[in-house]
Amino acid sequence: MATATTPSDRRGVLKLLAGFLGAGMAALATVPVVGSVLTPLLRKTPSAGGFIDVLAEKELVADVPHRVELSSTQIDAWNTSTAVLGAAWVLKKKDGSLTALSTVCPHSGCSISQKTKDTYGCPCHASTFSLDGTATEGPSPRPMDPLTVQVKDGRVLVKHARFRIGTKEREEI
Amino acid sequence: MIRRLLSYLDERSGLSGLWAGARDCPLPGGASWARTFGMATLAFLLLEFLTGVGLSAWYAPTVQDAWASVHFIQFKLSLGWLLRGLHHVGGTALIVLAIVHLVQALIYGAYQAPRELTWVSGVVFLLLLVVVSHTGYLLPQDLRAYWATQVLVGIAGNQPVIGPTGQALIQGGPLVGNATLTHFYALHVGLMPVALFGMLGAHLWLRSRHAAATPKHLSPETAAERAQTYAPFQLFRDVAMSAAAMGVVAALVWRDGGVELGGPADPAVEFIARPEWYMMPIFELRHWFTGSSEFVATVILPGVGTTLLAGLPWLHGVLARRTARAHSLLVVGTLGGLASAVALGAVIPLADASDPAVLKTNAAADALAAEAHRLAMAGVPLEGPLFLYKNDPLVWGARVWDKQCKACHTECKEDPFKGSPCLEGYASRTWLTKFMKDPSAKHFFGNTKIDSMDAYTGSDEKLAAMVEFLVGESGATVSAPLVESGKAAFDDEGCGSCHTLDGVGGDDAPDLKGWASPAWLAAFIRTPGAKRFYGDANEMDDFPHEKLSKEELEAVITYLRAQTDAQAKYP
Repeated sequence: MATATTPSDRRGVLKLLAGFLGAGMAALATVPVVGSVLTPLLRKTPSAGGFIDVLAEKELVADVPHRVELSSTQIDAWNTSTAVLGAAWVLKKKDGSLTALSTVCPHSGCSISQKTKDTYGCPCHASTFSLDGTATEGPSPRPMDPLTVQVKDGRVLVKHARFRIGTKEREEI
Repeated sequence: MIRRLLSYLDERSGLSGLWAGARDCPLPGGASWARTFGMATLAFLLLEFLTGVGLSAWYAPTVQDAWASVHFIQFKLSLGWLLRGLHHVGGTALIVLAIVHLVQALIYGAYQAPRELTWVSGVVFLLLLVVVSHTGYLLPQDLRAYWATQVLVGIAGNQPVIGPTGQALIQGGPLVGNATLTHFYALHVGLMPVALFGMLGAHLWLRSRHAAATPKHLSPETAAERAQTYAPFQLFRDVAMSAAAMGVVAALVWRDGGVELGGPADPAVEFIARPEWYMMPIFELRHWFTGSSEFVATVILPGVGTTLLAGLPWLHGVLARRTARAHSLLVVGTLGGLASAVALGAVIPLADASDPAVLKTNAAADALAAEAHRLAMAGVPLEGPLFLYKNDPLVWGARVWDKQCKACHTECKEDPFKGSPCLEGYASRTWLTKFMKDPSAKHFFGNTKIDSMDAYTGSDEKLAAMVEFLVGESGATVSAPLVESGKAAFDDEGCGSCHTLDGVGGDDAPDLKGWASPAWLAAFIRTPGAKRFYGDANEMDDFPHEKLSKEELEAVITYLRAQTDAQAKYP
């Protein structure tokens, strides 16, 4: 046969080349697969720090409570969705300071609404609170729960939190 | 140590014997480049398998998620574009290589007895490739995939007798939807790969049973004289051909940054549906056989062609009893059939390339894809990619505009089609300046009943100030001193004798308090004929809730308010 006359070093070179090209093909097929699987390690999703943009500061009127919805945007791979986490009463005082109070009543978790110009009230068991959150009447065991609030670039940002209900001591959960 | 382990394993598995068998397998006529396409097909099948597994780790076959997950693969995943690009272009290369391998086997006469079953298994493999490719085509759920699938299931549904039943079974229901995607996905990643590798196994088993065929163009003596073992000469050629083909595929993917992803499937969007290249001949034939004879194009002719191809070995037997040229006749006949298929398939693509209507619709589809891509970079709503448009007031506003307003407020041209004012560039400084200089121009009130507004002929400084004042009313950012002098000029020029600024309005002209602001526009669009607006001179329709929902109204207002100076071209 013709092969018998071919020098063995030529065979060696061909084998080496074939191995080299074969490895190249294997790499082409596996690199994108492995690369895609490693995406979670290569790209970190930036965290917003838990603050939720609720409205522009100039929309607030001094000493008038403003009810805002706390909804956060969640990204799950290719989907984005908005989840409503809760609500807050935001109040700007005459001196410009801001407070935010959770609308969840510390007594049994109902939603606190504004009762009069200067008070909040819970419709379930008639607890009453002043605009700074102090419990003035009714069964609430503690004042309304404050939420962290800040202003950044003219936008009011509120951090959502949940608290244990029915206890005298405030405990975040 | 390793050597001992290997020999221990080999004694029990016999794998080295398998390799030795392949290595020393004699090739009549010696190594040749023509013989490389079978192994190249195998290499691409493995590439498709690996990249397919990679893609399936990121893909979700539901109507809401399919396009979004493919967009994610293409634009957010590390090397996702390469993964998808290799799988897509590699699929095309796989079919091309399989066809070339088939032609080589035909010319070598490798289909003849005793290799009939080897040939048939190859033809079946090719048919399975078409099925696997088609089921994969739907999965991205872009416009192309959607329309191609509509056509495919439509063809299935048009078949005599079994059509509607077949269509319902393929779709998994009365319409193309979630069940169609999961059905196609199951075929594409489950049944078809198993069938392909099974058919490949049968093909290789038969190949090893009958050894390599002697090429028809060599005499048995020459072939025996030139014979070589498979390794290393043919092995090297096989690997080199596979690597070269893969290099071409990788270069194409690299050049284009992967494969195009069109806009998301949308039944309301105009799109020119074209099948994949290997289906083009059937597509063209459907123009010849229409109506009740359509199944001639979609079933009879392809069926006859495939049966003849699969039956080639036996056809050869029949012909060989009558003529010595049976082989040449079959080669010429088959290549002739292939050439006619290519010619048929080229008709539509060639016509499309220079058809202005096709090019225009394709350009619109490209623009839509770019827009969907831009919006999807922030994530796709759970409701699905079509809600990308609805969630963006500007994009949605442009669509509402096209649907509800454009019939009268037509595209602005040198010579406007109708009397309604031209609103391109609306409420921009340029638009206002043009308007105040010539309110009775045919682009503004020229063809309406409104004829009582005088053109402004005073100084440019005063005009600029008044324009700034009006822009300020719309709520845009303005220069405060200019607005001051604009307000003074407004009073000075006697604008107030017709236009009021108190939100009530007189009888003669619209109230300009908050002109072009969201609230003003909302009230105007709902009731343009109100006393506060055009009153008796109004010719525009009211747009109550039943005609324009609150969301649509808000979107179209966003669209109007986003008009820029550059858009105001006329008069």
